Amino acid sequence: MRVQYEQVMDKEQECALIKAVECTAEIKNAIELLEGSAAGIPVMKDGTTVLCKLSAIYYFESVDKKTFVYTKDNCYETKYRLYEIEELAYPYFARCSKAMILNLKKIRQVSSELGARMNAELLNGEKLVIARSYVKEIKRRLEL
Amino acid sequence: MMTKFKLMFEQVLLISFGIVIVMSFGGIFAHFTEHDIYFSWYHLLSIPLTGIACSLPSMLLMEMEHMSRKGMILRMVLHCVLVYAITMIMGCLFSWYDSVVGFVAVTVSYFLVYHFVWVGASILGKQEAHEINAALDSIRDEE
Repeated sequence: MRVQYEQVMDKEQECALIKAVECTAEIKNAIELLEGSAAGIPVMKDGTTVLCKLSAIYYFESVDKKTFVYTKDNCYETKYRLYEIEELAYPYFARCSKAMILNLKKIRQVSSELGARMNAELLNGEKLVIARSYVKEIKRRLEL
Repeated sequence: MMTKFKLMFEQVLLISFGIVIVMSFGGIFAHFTEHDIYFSWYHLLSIPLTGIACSLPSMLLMEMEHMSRKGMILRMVLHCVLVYAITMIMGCLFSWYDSVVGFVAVTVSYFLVYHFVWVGASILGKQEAHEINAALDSIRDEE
């Protein structure tokens, strides 16, 4: 595949465009690598520390100063605080409430609720609430 | 704190604008039924003051993300009643009405505007959700 590189002056202008006949496993890996979702964060479960890929994480939740990491069927704990995760997992992880950071790629659909809040149904069927004060930021991340 | 203040300020503007609209339609209606109405010096002042007073119960509608649907509905009913009480007290203080007919007219106007605001907010919310869903389609992971 022919690869072109063009320098830009602004971080906001950075983007990669891949033109291919089909999205092969290699291309998917390249996309994950470029988006940073191939990166992982150390998480703990039953005293063991493992590396969890960002692309496998559904959401982060902070409860009593502890941060929990939720994947499709597992729950881990991490030493990272939510504000650190926000920087680390930019742009597809966004706050949906004071204590939660949600992976936008894992949302099946959102629906509007009473009081201008939104419900997000995740790919694993879980439902989370998006507080109205965070809807604006999520829209910004989705370039709306 | 800043977000709350911003939200309250938006509420003051929205409510004040709502009162101006109701007064404008009231004026038009009065004119065409040959009962022209005249405003005193304090009527203009009553608009932002009522806006500020009516924005205070909005605190009830903040931080409802972890609340059950029942709790939310209860708060919204309480909000509606409180804002209605404030509107009628301000209306009495600033002579928006001086008869039973006026009282009923202000009550009907209030519930119409309140209902209109919620219906409008609900339509906007659905549109917003639709837009977000369309944008999510292009980034969604396969499971």
